[in-house]
Parts: sequence; structure tokens; C-alpha cells
Amino acid sequence: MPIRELPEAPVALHIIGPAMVLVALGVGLGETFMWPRLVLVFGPQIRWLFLIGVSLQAVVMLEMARYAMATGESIFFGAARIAKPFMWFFFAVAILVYIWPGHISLGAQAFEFITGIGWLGTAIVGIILMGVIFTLAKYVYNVLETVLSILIGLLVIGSVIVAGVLGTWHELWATIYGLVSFGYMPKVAFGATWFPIIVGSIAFAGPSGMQQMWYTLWLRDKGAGMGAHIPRIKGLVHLDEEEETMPSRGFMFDTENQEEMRKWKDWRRWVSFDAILLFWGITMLVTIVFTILAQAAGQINPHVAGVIKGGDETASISAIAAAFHSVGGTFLKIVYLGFIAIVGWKGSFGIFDAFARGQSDMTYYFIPGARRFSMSKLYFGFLFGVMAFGILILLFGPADGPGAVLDVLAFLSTFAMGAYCVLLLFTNNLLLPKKIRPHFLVSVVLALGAIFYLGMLFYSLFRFGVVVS
Amino acid sequence: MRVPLSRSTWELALPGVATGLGTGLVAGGLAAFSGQSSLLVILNFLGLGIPLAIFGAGYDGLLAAGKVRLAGVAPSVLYWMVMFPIARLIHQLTLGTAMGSSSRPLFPEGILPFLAYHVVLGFGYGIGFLWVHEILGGWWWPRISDHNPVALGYVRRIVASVDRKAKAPRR
Repeated sequence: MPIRELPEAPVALHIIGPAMVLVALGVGLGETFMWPRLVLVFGPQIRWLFLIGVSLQAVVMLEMARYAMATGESIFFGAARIAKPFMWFFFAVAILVYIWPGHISLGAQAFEFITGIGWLGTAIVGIILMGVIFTLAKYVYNVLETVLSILIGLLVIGSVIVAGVLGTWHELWATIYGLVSFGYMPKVAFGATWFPIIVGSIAFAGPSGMQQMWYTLWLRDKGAGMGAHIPRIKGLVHLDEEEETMPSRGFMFDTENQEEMRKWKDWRRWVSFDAILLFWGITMLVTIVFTILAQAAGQINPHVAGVIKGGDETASISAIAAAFHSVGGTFLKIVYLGFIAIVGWKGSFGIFDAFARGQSDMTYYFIPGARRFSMSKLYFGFLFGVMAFGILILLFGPADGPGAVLDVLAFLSTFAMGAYCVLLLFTNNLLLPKKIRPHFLVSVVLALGAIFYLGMLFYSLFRFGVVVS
Repeated sequence: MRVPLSRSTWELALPGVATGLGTGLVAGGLAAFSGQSSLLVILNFLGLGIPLAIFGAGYDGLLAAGKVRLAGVAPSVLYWMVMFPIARLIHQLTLGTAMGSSSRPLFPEGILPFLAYHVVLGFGYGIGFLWVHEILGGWWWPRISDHNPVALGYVRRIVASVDRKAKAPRR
């Protein structure tokens, strides 16, 4: 790779950044529904598995950032450098798994519970609104970051206040104690009913599927590390202004230069702070708060616990909202359903952007002839494509994907996580200069991550004939 | 930096005060929509909103005095891990005083578990506060920077932070 100068790391003002976008995308159904459900079924002690899942994801995040900040390339480009089929695998998985508008349909259903306005119309308007926001933006990443910052800020402050009013120290302590109850695994958890669900919930702790891979693209557009040398994706109405040429590859800084290495260490500090405090801390906090809320709802009305254990998301959300309504009136119900509506809308908002970002990156660099279009045009091609498909599916098909292939989608999503652990082992140990490669122990953690995701996935498949759910 | 107590100082507190009052609105709204009396709605709003607004102003005071770092997460989290429990304590006591002895116990598990619980929630509030504070400050400080030297300092630091990256060649 050509050598370029590494920019200085920002000294402050970094709370709103790519890590926050990843947190906003990662805090979804795993945190608000799947883990509260497992706690109601098995007790708070089961949460040690959540701790393992999120901690592993924090390590993955730091390694994704290592490659992206050192080269300015996405991890997909790194995959192509190792072996092109590796990259095409992720290209195909993204299309199969992420074109379904499941998040926004669930969020719109929550909105329907609040307002009585039919969910279908709300979901379609929600998708069109996303298209308008991205189209009008000067730089797409900036508006993504701002919108998600506001939504996740509202979610964090609001859920803290509601948990303050409804929860108790006893519930909090039980939840925190559960985080360190290492090894707790009741016999029934090993059965065909619950084992695949537990594996799926660990995989969905924090960012799931390919979300971590897209983080490398947000880092690049934020100008983190060598990403500063790569042009950003512009909004559609600003495409004609000051054309920037996308380089044909990433760049590397001079790792023999002490000043450059000093700046690299600053960047690593910047991203480590994001990974530990923002990513790990906020994911933990939101899950703890929603677990407390689910427990409180179960105590208000024992019937709710039964519905949540049954696993029907929509019925559970409705039951929890009804329980809150009985103690806190309409507003508390609205606040809770509002959280779910936000989680649903921002989930699709972030995923549609990320999907278009990843696919346009791979298309631009690796599909012959694609470079006659700019990266921004390809991005909007994929973005409008996935939005149009989403609207068609909302109108005529199952929002989460066809029932017959749901298992395949869940399998691919978890498989991709095992695969990117293997990929990071290769890219960061083979493609990067020796001085900035990961520590041996970090590589061990990545290897264990790959064994964990792939091992549990195939164990579940061969032992029970069921993929994760 | 020594800051005199003047209009210039008070207007710096707007982002912190607004965030605190906004949070109070959530509590007031909770009471309003649950069909409680107007008195309880007002007490919920003021009981939580005023302490959080005062502590929000306190945060801005520390920021102006250079005691906490602009946009620093750790200082905000530590500050609110102390202040958020106090604000909730005042909120509960306000409600308890208004509702008299007929209501359910203010601290069913005892006051120490109540405070401990809110210390942990204060961690989350600290981060949420900072998010909102940064967004409000980014809008407000440039508007007062023509006559407020502290706000001008904030703006300069933000611009310098952006400039450092802008100076790097983007291709």
C-alpha cells in the first residue's frame, strides 16, 4: 500500500462518533427483548453469557478498527485481499439477511399500539423518510450520526428515568450478580428447546451479524486514522459539488517513524475508550434497564411473564406495555412503546445505510465496470433498491423474510460472525506491518470467538437439528 | 479560568439547565398521563426537573471554570453518579411531603439501596446528559460567542478539533 501521513487523533469531542453509531445499531431486540426473556425463564444468573458475548464483541470492534484505521480500507477490502470468495460470501450474506424490513415493521407495530394508526402506512412512510434524510444530507455519515445520536440519547435518558421510577435496587443487584455467575447453566438450557435460543441470544448480544464489519465503513467516513485519506459519501443532491476521486486502494502510514507511531497509539486510545465505555458500557446499561423493566412488568402482572416466555415479540411488547399502563397510566405505556418504535426505526435506518455502504464498497472495487459510477451513486443505487424492496415486502410479503428461509438467515447471520473472527485473524496478522499487529492474546480471543460462534452453531444444528433462533 | 457571576456566566448554563428541565418534563408527563392530580404533575416536573436543572447548571459552571473537560465522558459520568441520586432523593421527598403518610412508603427497600440503585442509573444518565448537552451546546455556544469569551473558547476548541482532521489530506 502507498505510504501517507497518519492524521492526529481527536483530543476531545469524541462521544458522538462511529462507536455510537454501532451502539445505536447494536442496541436492538437482543437487548430489549431476547435477554429480558431469558432472564425471566432462567433467572438473572444466565446473564453471564451476555457478559461473555458483549465482551467478545468489544474485542472484535477493536480489531475491526485496527484494520480500518491502519489502512483506510473496509474489512470487506481486507477480505478480498485474503481471498476474493471470502468477500463475495459476505456480499451474498448481506443481500440474503439484511434486505428484509423486519425492524421497521416491529417499530411501526409499537407505534400503532400508541396511536392506532395502521402499522403498514407508518412503516412505508418511515422508509420514505429515511430516503429523504439521506438524499438531502451534505455528507450521509454526518446525518446518520446526528439522527442516531439524538435517538439513542433519548432512549438512554428516558429508560434511566423510567427504570428509576419502576425498578428497585434488589432487581438491579440480581441482574448485576447474574452477570458474574460464571458457569451457571440449568439442565433445561441444554435441551433442544432452549439451547439454540441461548446461542442465538449470545450472538445477538450487542451488534450481530455483519454490523461490526460495517463499523469499518463508518470509521472511514468519519476520517478515523487513514480513513482521512478516503473521500466521503455525499447526499444525492450534493453529488455535483467538488467531485472527489476515490483511490483504488487504501494507504499505510510509516510504522518505522516514531512520530507516526505516537499518533497511532493516540488513535488506539481513542477507539479503546469508545469500545470500553461507550460500546460495552451502554450496551450493558440498556440491557440491564430493559431486563429490570421486564421483571417489573412480570411482577405487576404474572401473566406478562408467561407471554414473554412464550417468545412472541409483538404479544410480549403489548403485554409489557399493558402492565406499565396499569401502574403508570397511558404515558408510561407510551414511553415504553415509544422506545420500541425508536429501536425499530433506527434499526432499519442504520441497517439500510450500512447495507448500501458495504455493498457499494464491494461493487465499486471488485465488479468490473462499476467504477464508471462514483461510490456515492452506487451507494444510493443500493439504498433506494433496498428501500423499494422493503416497501414491496411490507405490502406483499413477510417482513422478516419468507418463513421457509428464516432458519437459513439465522444460520448465515451467526456463521458470518464466526467467519469475521477468522477473517480478522488473517487480515490483522498477515496484512498489517508487524509493529501494529494485535497482541498474541487478542488473537487467541479472536480464535476462541470463531470456535465459539461456529462451534455452537454446528453443535446446535447436528445435536438438535435446529439452527440458532 | 476565573468566571464572574454575570449574565455571561448564567447564559452558559443554558444547555445544562435545559437538559435537566427536559428530564423533569418526562417525570411530569408520567404523572400527567397517569391521571394524577395537577398538583402531583407539577410536583413531579419541578421535583425532578429543578434539581436536575440546578445540577446541570453546576456542570456548566465546572466546565466554564475548566474543572471538567469539554465533552469528557468520564467527568460527566462521575458527576452524575453523585448528583443523579441526590436529584431523585429530592424528587421522592418532594412527592412524599405532598402526598403525606397515606401514600406507599417512599423508600420500600430503605434509603441506602435507593441511593445505590440511582448511583448506577446515574452512570447512564451521565452519558445521556452529555449527548444532549453536546447537541444543545453545539447549537447555543456559537450564538453567544460574540459577547461571551468562555463560549468563544468552546467554539474555538470545537473548530480546532475539526480542523485537525480537516488539515489531513482526504485523498
